[in-house]
Amino acid sequence: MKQYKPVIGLEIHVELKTESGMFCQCKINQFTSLPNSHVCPVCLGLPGALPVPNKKAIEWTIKIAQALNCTINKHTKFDRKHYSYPDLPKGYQISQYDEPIAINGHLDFEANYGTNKNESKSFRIHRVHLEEDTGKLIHKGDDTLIDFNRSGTPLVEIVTEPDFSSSTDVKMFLEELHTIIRYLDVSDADMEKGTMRMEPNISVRVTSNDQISNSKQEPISKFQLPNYKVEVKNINSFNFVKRAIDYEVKRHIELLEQGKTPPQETRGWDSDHNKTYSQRTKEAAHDYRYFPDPDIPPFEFSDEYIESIRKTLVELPHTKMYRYIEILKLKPMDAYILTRDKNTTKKFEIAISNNLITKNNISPQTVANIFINKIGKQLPSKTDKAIVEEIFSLHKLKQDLSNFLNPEEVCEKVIQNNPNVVSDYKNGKQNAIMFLVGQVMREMKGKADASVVIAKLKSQISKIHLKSQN
Amino acid sequence: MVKKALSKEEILHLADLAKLSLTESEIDKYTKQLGETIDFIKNLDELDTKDVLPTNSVVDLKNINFDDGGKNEKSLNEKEALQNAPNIKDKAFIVGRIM
Amino acid sequence: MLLGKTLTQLKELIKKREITPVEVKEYFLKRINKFNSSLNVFLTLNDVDEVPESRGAFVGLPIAVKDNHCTKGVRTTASAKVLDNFIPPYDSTVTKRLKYENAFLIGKTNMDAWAHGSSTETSDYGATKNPWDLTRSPGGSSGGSSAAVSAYLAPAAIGSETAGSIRQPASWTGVVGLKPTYGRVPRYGVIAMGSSLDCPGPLTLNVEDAAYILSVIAGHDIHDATSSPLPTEDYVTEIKKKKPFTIGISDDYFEGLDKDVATALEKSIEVFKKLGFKTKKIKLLSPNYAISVYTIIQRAEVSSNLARYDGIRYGKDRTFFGDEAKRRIMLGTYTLSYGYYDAFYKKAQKVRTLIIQDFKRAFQDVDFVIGTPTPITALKLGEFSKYPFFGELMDKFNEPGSMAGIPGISIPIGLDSNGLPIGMQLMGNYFRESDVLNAAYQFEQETDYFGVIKKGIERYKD
Repeated sequence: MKQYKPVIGLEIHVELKTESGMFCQCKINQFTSLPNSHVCPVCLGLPGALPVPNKKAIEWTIKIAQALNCTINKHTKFDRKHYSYPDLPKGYQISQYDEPIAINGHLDFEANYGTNKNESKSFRIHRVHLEEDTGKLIHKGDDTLIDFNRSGTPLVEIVTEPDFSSSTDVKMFLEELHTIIRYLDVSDADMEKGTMRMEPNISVRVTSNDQISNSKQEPISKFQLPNYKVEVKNINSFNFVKRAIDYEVKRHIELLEQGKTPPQETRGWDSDHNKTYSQRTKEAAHDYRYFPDPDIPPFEFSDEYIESIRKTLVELPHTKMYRYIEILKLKPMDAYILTRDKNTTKKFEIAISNNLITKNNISPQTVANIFINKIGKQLPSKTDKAIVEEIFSLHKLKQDLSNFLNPEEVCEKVIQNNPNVVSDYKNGKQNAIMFLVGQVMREMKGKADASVVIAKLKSQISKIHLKSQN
Repeated sequence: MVKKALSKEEILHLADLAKLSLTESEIDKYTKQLGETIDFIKNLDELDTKDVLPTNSVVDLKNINFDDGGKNEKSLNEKEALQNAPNIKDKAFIVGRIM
Repeated sequence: MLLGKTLTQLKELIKKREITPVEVKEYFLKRINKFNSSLNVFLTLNDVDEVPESRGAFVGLPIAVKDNHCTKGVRTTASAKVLDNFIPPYDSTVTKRLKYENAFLIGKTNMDAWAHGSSTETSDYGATKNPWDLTRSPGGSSGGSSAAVSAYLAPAAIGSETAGSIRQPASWTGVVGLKPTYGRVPRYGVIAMGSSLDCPGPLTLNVEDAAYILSVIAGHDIHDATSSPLPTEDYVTEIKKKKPFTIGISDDYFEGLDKDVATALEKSIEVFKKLGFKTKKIKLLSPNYAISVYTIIQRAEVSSNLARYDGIRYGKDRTFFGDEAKRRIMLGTYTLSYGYYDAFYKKAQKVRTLIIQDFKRAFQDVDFVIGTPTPITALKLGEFSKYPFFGELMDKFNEPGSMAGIPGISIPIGLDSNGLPIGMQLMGNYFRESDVLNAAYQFEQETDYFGVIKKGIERYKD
């Protein structure tokens, strides 16, 4: 019986948040600026202008590659990639062809860690290279306007092997990658602003039943790749990537069922209608005429240099998550949630090592609960001190209550002891409740929240009422 | 390099890649002239370069770069950026609408 | 009174307050008015900048600049209609350095369009005429700059070489032309032709002026990643030290020379011997390979460098490209295109390695390779268009050195039977500009170029 299995690879572009451009010293990432207000002869492609590479952009690319377990090429160079488009000022993009900064990496992570759906994932990275971004096109009426402010922004391209067979895996991978990039603090990786852009390439493989092994991830070398591939461009959310893949896979299977091969082409994603549409077919096949850019001498990285960058790598989200689980004994889901954002983990780690917290034996799990449930969203606006104090007071309150009396029981006792007052209240004497509250507060030595007590009293009294009616 | 003379289709393909529109007579002329030039440059086949590394740059330089965030001496103001453009609108360069 | 004064001499006159920079400018403008219509040297005169004060290395002196150097506020076309109305918003590093030293950039000189050619005939603004014979080409692509100096429409000029474009026109118009080591003079702001080859350099009336200009324009530029960080030298001082050198003679560089050229070259070697130079036979790779390497690499780089001209941000659209530019773009596109890269571009880059090794080997034994920038003297206008890459054949003695990136100087060594200047060139080791200039200076002191430069200027009396 025929089986269809998707074969999916990804190209991810990440704009680095350096201050200067990739090959010029223009200020970049000026999202609010007027068009063409941060340009120079280089990024405007004026006659005679020459590129000089940005050191930090190269270092950050190496860093990204190291986080993705890549081999850093000790010899690398920039090449010219020729194609013609109005947003490409030189008629070529300075990119990297046969000697990218890094190759052969992999990104491993645990999906649904700590649940019964836990699964180890590993996806191979084909290459990581550095290039320059293009200008921006804005379509207005009969015109297309071109703004070159973005032109020359350092752009890292991460290319995976076609290792994915499900859109869910793709989404998980992209979320993990996004988290890593944000951890490295080299890019905003903001999809809305287009500083992270994703292009899945999709095809569907036809196999017979017995060829499909049980292992979820087969290395690609084990089977023949389909003889076509559809690239979907310009997708700006993980969900859209998932939907685009699902849409494409369904479309391909339908064509394959009819005995047709889906045409090799580039498609766009229409998020309004949840579908892809054809942009460019194979006829306009690319011939980029790559050659080494004669304006830029090559790069040679020493082992010491590569190591010095590796030393600046922070603990990555998955490693941190395992540590939280293994060492701090957090619940896996809590560890996962906390480690999605580097800033949260930073504040969390400050909090758990604070004197006030450690001396009072407040466990990391307690702190994690408070982080996730109480103060998660307000975190960025709070100082470390305020966070610690809040954790302490919340924790203390909870502890006091549990150490002394259970407000539930106290309320029950006070109700039983004051039947007349309860009956007054039920007969419409609203103020009578305040006497009961006073009694509860006295019993609890004031260590209770009056509004909570009122709510508990009302709830218990209402049950009595119901009972008597029955 | 056992390449035959260029065909008209190849010339048209090259012109398309290079964004040049050629007249019929230019197509004929370039077909012939490129063919002659290609014949000439084949003399490089006489040299054994099996173990020779290509030279991309004659300057013995590597790792040339600049430090991020430095002063931008080359920045252009709005007038300078746009002064040579045949068509501008809202401080942007314009072309006919691209679909 | 000023006719034929070198840059250095004019500088002295200004320093002694015998003349002002404005008077010098007026003097040359008068000459330009008188002779430019017949010679077609200047495309644009600088009516934007003020004449600077009599300070700095150039004390307000005028210098002509090849029209492929971007000059802020002054139209820059590279002699191509595509850039007919282009006003650069920035200065090339070379013109910036000249201005910093208070040179007055008097005007922009004609050239082969995009520097594609060896005759100035591919200019979209008409050919420049050779001041020695108006029916002949001044050579190219820096033909406007060499003619400007030869006819004394400027005391000195900036040109640029990709392979021979300074040395060959210097030779054909009887002036001094220096092609520095690739990377010695920054390319930033010079409209790119062959990026791995382009070298700006001076065309002058004598070696001292060339040394003088080089001292200002040479040196590392942070905006050109291929510019050398090696320190420059005080070239003017260096040329005046009498140094003994060994000249290498390779038979391949004497093949197919015009009889008069060969004779003059022999005579020049005798002059060097008299000066105490040693000579040594060497064997270099045939220049015929360099022609092919050059053709492949330069065309490839041209096709890439001209890709930016889309008429959106500046200039006119691609239909304005001339015949030569289109032909070069086509070949370059071909050699880079899928399936041919290894056979052409990569092969050429490998042979380029052989050429470099060849010169490096030679310079272990000798200080210079001697030859001529061009096997014949100035050709009649129209001769070049007979073959698709005739210019490359004419530049065969320049192409090996250019592919290797070594410096070379062309100096006049006599006149042929038609009364046309003959040039000789010395090619030196990497960054040995001071040696090349030094040897040429010794030759100049000994011979005064047999009166060639003076004869040229005398044809264009005030």
